[in-house]
Amino acid sequence: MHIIVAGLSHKTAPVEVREKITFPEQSLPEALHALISYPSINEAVILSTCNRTEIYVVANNIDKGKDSIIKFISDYHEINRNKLQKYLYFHDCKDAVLHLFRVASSLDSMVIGEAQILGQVKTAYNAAFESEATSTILNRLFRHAFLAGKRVRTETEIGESAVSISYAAVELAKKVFETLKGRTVMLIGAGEMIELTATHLVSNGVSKVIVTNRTYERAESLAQRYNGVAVKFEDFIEHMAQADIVISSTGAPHYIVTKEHVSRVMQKRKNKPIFFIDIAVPRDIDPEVANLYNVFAYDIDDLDSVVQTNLEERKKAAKIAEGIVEHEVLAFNSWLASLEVAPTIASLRRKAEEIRLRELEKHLRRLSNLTEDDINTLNALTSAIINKLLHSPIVKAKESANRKDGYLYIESLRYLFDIEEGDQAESAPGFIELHPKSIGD
Amino acid sequence: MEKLTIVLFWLALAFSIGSSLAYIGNFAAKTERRVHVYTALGSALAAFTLLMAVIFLRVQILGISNTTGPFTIRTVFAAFIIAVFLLVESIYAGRSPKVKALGMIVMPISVVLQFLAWHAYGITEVLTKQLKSYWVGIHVSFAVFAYASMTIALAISIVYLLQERQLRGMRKKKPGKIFRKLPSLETADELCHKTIAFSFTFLTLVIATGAIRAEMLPEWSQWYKDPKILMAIATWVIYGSYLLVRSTLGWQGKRANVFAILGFFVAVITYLIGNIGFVTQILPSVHRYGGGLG
Repeated sequence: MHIIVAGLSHKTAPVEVREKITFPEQSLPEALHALISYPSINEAVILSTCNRTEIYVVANNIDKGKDSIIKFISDYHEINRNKLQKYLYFHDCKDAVLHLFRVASSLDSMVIGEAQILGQVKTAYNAAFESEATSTILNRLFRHAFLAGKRVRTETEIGESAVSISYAAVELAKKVFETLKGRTVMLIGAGEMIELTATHLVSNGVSKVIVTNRTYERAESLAQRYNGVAVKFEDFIEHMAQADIVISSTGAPHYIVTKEHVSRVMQKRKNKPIFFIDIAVPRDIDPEVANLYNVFAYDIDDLDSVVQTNLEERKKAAKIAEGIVEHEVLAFNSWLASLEVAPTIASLRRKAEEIRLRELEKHLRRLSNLTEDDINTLNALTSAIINKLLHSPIVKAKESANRKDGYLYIESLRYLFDIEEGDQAESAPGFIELHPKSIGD
Repeated sequence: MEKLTIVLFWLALAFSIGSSLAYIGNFAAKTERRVHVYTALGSALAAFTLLMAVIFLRVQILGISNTTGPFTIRTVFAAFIIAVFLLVESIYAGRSPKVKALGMIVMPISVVLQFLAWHAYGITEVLTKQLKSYWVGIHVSFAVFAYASMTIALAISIVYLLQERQLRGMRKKKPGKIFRKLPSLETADELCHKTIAFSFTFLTLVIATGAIRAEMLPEWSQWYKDPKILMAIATWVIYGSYLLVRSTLGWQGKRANVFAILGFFVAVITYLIGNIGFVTQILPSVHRYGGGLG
């Protein structure tokens, strides 16, 4: 059996194609049933997010498996086969394992380190598990992928810092104020960026929102959304002293918050720290205010510089993460190798031979008056018994290995004869070897 | 028994160095492993325990009046610095885990003090009959506590100023490790305020107990001319004004923290002054003991 993944993502397909080939959550059970009814496909998981659609299967034959997946997608979405193939990528065996682990660890994402993908992989797997589309191999594979994803998240800083302007504002604010809980924020303007940033601040615990806007009605409607208060644009400076954080984004052609305004505010605040974010271009807040005592003021370029630095940090963290993923792939592949028929048979033979030799030696010590010929006969006799006894299970195991549920027999064989997972490690070196190239890209 | 104290002392030093390296390493590291954090914290705790054991054993062997001397004082100082740091850590660990970055400054200071202590090992000081008093014992203990928390306050002020520089220079210099790994300004400022309030309280008690003892003895009636006492009062005034301007003028943040650093330097001079020859010639001091911290 072979693990195969076929898919398309932001790296291979434009959005027009991606939005067409999706599997909404409610249609997953039906799609999965259709997929595993293909004779060459034993197990399947369908992962469908806004940036990627991927199909993981376990198939007996790589080519037939790939062919079935293409057929399934083109039938399901009524799309031309040749057109579809242009956008698809395929990975099999250890490359497929590596691919899934990298996806789950968010190393393959558009924004490296984004936090949603692990949850999306979990949802996809749960849907497949509940539809009984998975079995031993994909169960183990996906659970191991979650482990890898979790390790990457806890052991690296990959998802720690902000990589969007509005998150960067929150991150900076948290460096001035330990927590945003109980803080008051003033919003100057009522545009989209203001809303986005305000939402982040409120979800981080900001408790009071003051909104001001040139058109008072818009200020009121925005204030309502956050349970805040609206103030008139003419006298918002009077209310600024209450605010710990001020965010401004208006279309004003000149500064609307000047140094004189802020020094008056600071007097009222008794110099308690205040934090300004100016996301307007042209700027709303005079950059000179940053020179006032305990005033921290940032504009869009400052936030962008934070975002850029954090992106660089993420790239560095991603390098460490690749190492973790590589390690987990090795661990998984060594388990997978144990399901292969050839090493299992080799281990079985070795075990039988070990038993034979041990017993022979033990009994030869007691039979001291045997000639060389006698000993040879005994050797031949015991070998013959072992070989005859093992002959039919080995032949049957080889036959069944190509069947759909073949690995079940191999697993049973290992279980019944008590063959350890580690036994085959040396006998199947090809399986645990990794291609360094595939990790790098 | 003396061998045992020496072995324990060296062990404490080893743990302190280990802890310092672990704190610095954790700060520099890309990923924070829990085991490394516990190593740093555990070593600091072990160092404190061992240093206290050293003092306890010395008192047992030599008797309390023969234990005094620069070695003991510096060892106690090194231990108390760790103790105050661990206290701060335990209070703040849940609220602001980044406070542990202080260990990077505090633990090396403790290491330096332990080396200084070892340097003075074996120097014994015979106490005059005026000093054989409970008042003096309390006076010295309070002083060590006050100076230990001043050291922590200094470390926090440095952290504050570093972080503020990062926040102010965002455009010119991209935010680096310092920005991400140091606590927020609010936490640093609050912590500095608390430790200084703590040291100020103890400093008040130090001056009070010293004055009470001096007043008991007619030969010490000129105590206010003692240079160390004058410096201690200067320190007291600086820390007191920190607390005052902070609460009345709202001088939170940078200005307050600069005060804290200034106060510390005056405190260091206070610490040393009893032993600087030319000063004691002009203004004789009763504080000739403990290698400067008597």
